[in-house]
This record gives sequence, C-alpha cells and structure tokens, in this order.
Amino acid sequence: MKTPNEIRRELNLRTSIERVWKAISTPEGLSHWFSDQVEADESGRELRFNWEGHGTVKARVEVVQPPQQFAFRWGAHGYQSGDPFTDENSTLVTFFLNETPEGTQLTLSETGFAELAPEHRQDSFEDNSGGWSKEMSDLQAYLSELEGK
Amino acid sequence: MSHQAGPVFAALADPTRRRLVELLAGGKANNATELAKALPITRQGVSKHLAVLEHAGLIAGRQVGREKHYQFRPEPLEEPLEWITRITQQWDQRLEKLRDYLREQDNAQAENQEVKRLQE
Repeated sequence: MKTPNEIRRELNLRTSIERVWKAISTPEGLSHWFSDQVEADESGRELRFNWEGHGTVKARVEVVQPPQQFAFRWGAHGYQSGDPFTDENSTLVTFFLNETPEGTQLTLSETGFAELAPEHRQDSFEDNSGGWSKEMSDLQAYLSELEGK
Repeated sequence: MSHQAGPVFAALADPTRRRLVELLAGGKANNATELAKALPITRQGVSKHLAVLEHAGLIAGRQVGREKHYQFRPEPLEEPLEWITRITQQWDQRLEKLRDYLREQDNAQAENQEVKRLQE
C-alpha cells in the first residue's frame, strides 16, 4: 500500500530545469501560478502568499538546493498567524526537480496530514485519533485497485 | 455522519482491522471463521476486531444460522476521503497553471529567438 500521509504529483515538463526552478522557488515565478502575489522577506526564509479576496498565508522556507529541491512549511486549515509552526498545525511542501532528456521532471509532495491536530483538519472533523490520513489513503488506494480489477 | 469520525479513524488505525476490512471489501471472506483462517489470530481475536469495526459503522453484521455474516460499509469513509480529494484537487489546479505558465514562457522565448534570427 502507498501514499503514507502524503499528496504526491509528478509532472514531465518540456522546460529547462533552470526555468522550472525559477518558477517554483522565486516570488516572481510563484506569483504566476501559485497565488496572486508572493513576497519574500529580506532573508528569503519567509514567504507570504496572497490570494485576492482570500487573504495571506505565511510560509517558512525549509530547503533551498538549486536547482534540485525547494521546500516550505505552511499553516494548515485554522492556523493562526503568528503561531510557531509545529507538526500539528502545518504541512511541508517540497518540490523535487530532475533534469530529463525532454526537459524537467517535477515532483510535488505535501506531507504531514496525518499529524495535524483535529482543529487544523476540516471543520467538520471531530476526530481525535492520530494517523488516520495514512489509513484513509491506503484504503482509498486499495479500493481503487479493487475497482480496477 | 461526521460526529462518528472518531471511532472510524480509531478502528482503521489498527493493521489487523484494516486487513479485515480489505478481506470483507474484497469479498474474500464474510464470517469470523473464514476471516480467522486468513489471519494469524484466533477466531475470538477476529470477533473482537469485528466488534470494533461494527461499532464504527465500517461493517454490518447479519445473523445467518449459527454464523454472523459481515459486509463492508464504505459510507463512514466518504467525508475524510472527500477532504483528501479536495486538497489533491487544489494541487492539480495549481500544477495545471504552472504547466500553462511555463508553456507560455517557452513559446515567448521561441518567438524571440525567431525574431532575432530574422533580424540577423
């Protein structure tokens, strides 16, 4: 069984790795597809994503390894601005880049859903047991396998 | 349904119970005796786990003669699955936008090169 606690997507792009790197790791690049405006603080360790009409989300840059890996941590549903990030209130977004003969393979991974505290999951969840997200996705994977047979 | 989420997650946190759900969902077995044969635990152990799953609403039991037959019920899983699906869809939309943006950029660059060649 697969997908422990993680959302993962792979894209094969016919774009050079340098250009993909700029698009996923710079405020300029991110503002073209991720959110409406993106700002970085002076150190470049903090990003602010703004969606018009939906407010601003802060993110802490965790890994900068050009042009292979870029990662940031951001608050989950219900995260209060100013709170320190913990496993219970945030998830980790990582982009992995790989040069291919055709261009670039981009892998997106967001992890940490299983550790989120109940108040940071969807409102309607009043669950208080840990580790459910993994089971959900395992079971989902299994059920879709069954359907495929 | 959402107020029942706690027992559902607790029930599925155990690997043996996940295996039981798989066996029942796959139609491989439908009573404690058959299920016990597929697992390294006793029939009594299976019965205890089945009781937890039944309490969570993930399986439904029906008395048939001396045996109780169980059936998988996916309904309690719908909401959590929807939640994960929604977050996944957000990523799919963002990545689609990224793909479009890069394509535009690549096209713009190709055009610029074309113009340069023509000017030379």
